[in-house]
Amino acid sequence: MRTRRLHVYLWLTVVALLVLSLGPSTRAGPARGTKIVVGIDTDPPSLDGHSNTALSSDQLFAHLYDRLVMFDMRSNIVPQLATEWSVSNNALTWTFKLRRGHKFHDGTPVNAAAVKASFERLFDPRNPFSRRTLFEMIKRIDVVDEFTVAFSTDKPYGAMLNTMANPSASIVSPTAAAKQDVNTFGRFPVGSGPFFFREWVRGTRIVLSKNPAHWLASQTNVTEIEFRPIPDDATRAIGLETGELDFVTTISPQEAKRLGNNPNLVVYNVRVRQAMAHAIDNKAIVDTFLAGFAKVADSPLPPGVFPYKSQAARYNYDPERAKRLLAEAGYPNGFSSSMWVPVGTYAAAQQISEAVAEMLKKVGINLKLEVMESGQWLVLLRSKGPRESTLEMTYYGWGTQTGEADYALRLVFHTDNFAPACCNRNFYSNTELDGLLDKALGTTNVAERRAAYERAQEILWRDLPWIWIFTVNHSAVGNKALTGVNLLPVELIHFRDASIAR
Amino acid sequence: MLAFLIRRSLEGLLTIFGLSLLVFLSLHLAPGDPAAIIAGNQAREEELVVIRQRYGLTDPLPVQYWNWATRVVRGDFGTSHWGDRPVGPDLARAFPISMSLALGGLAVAVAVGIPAGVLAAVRRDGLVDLSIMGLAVAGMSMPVFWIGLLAILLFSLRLGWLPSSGWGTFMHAILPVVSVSLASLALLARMTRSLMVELLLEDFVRTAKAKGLPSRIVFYKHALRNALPPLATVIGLRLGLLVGGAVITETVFAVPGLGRMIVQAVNQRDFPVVQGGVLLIALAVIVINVAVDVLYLFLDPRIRYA
Repeated sequence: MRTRRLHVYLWLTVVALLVLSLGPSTRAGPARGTKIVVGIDTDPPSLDGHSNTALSSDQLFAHLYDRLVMFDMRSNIVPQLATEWSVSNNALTWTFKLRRGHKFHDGTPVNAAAVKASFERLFDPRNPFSRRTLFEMIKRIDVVDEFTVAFSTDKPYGAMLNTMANPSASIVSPTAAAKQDVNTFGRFPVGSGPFFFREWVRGTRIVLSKNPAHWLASQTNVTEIEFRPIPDDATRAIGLETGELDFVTTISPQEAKRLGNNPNLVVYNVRVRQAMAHAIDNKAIVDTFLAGFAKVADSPLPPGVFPYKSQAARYNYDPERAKRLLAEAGYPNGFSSSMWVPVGTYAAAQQISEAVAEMLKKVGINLKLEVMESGQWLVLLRSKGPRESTLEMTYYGWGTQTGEADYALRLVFHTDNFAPACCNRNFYSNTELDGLLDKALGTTNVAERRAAYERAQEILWRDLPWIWIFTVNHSAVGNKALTGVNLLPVELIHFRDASIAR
Repeated sequence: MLAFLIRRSLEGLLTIFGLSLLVFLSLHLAPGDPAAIIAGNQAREEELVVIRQRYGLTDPLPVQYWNWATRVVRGDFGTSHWGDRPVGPDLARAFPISMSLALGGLAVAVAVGIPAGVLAAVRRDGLVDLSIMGLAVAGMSMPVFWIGLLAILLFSLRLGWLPSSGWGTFMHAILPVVSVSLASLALLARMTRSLMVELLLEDFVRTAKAKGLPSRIVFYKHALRNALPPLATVIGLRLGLLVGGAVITETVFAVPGLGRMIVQAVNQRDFPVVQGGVLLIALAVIVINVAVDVLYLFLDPRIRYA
């Protein structure tokens, strides 16, 4: 008798909890018409089109803002605000003709003066925009007439169009930008893109609404896009399965599959690097750790980046050959070295590094892995020049924001970019390569640029300053009903032409 | 009593000062340069110089601490390095979310854990006792991220009753609150049981039973009453733990709370956010501890604070 009461009390509590959980609205999979919900991994720091270097922001810029030109899915340059463009005979002045009659979301007309004002804001050293260095070749901007704007450089600048197509070249409304400080503008952005800003609840959602006056308006039936930051990989994937999300922009390969002495000197020897390349089973790494959502690298440039060329020479998995090359290089018994492994920057970095260490051990190379947190790794990487650097090897990745070879190669392999100035952190120096990169950058002739970069790829592939293992397929997963989503090789996803069938 | 409160407040202030210094030093002395993280691995050195100047990162450490502390005293938590936004409003938004997660979790733990413990003690060594204690051990042993994902799989994906992530409505709160409560619930059930098992053997319980009181009154009014002071201590400690410790739950369920914010900020070396966030949590824990001390007075009339 007495315990029965307690029993009842206990069960009432449990039942009350269950009833609460049964609450009013039940099914999580909602009916929301032509609104789409996109799961992203982190809340962007700012929505100011000029602001920063976070991929999470770049992702949104193509929707809020227009640029003069943009990339299509094959990294070709296509017209946007600029309908046509030309370059002067001396290759120093680029002239862009603007689309007529287009307006920013606040009603300000998009014209040459607005484009000029937008770039001047980006270049203003008082504003905290670190990507302005991407545009440092541009010395003057001229308003030719209401719908014509010209950019001048001191030297011919081959990557002008690609630079204009990158997210930081977003054109912001000069009226709105002048009225607000950078911080406020980052929270209430005004552009001229196919979607305008509606709401941002930090950590919860960013909502954009369709801009009916945009020339792309007829291409998409999506009326609203909600970007929802969900940090956990598994939770994001489940959101897709429950129908709460229509798309997730980043997904771990496992989740995607489920849904679907003085070692420094040693590595200076090209035979040693080639031996290491032969000792690493790239295909096994791609299949095991990336669930096939990557492609074995076959060139220093990834497919989709101009002018990628698949290399005829291959570093097949061949431990015997690796041992022979090591012996030829004077290391018949192998050697020991260390490798930095950043955690939290690249998918499965630690597991892949462990596999690489295992593979290298088979040919006598003992690799000590130094696993470290990304913040610490970044400092170690960048702070030291050739004399002080303690870098022996590191797990590394490089994305190409502009979709062309200059960004992919010059920053990391040109002698002028030795750390700490920039990003050549293993101090590779080759005068032939430097010459080719300078030549390709200094001309606007596409055939000449292609020839120079193709030769550059051959040199790098032979010298192996890096051992390229794989190119990740930028994987994302979406609801079947959502079509027309564009995945760009520059790691961005555009919903500008998307349609949802419900 | 007043003297006690004043003394505790002063102690609390001292603790907060020490803690803020500790957090400041551990952040600034740990490897990792905020400017390098803000600019990314593709930036040039001169961009880093601009960023360091903008956020005063080139000043000597004591100067940086002084600047930060004097601003905080005036209620200004500074500017986030990541996104260049004021920290105060972000903290003010995230803090209540973490508090409601913690309080909700604790409420569930108390409402279920204590009755379960009493029931187990009353049915000591029986099937009910064994199953409740078995569940309690399981509840304490299962990591939150795992049980959280299982709950999402069952309630969101299989049954479709609850949203899998997010925050804002009552429905969104259920899974995270229940997940965050489990460990505390299990602990409270076990504590209540062991306290009650001893108390039920006491003379006053036998007396109460002998004079014919209904067992509900004996268990809850007489016996449980005596178990409350130690339980209050545990509850207070758990609440402190829950306020700062819901990081994993917040990540799994995409709850925009303080814990998730601080972890993200640590990775980005976003010093003002980490410092401000830790300060708020410390303040909350200290207030909770004082509140528990005051609660003792009501739970145990023998206790006096000079």
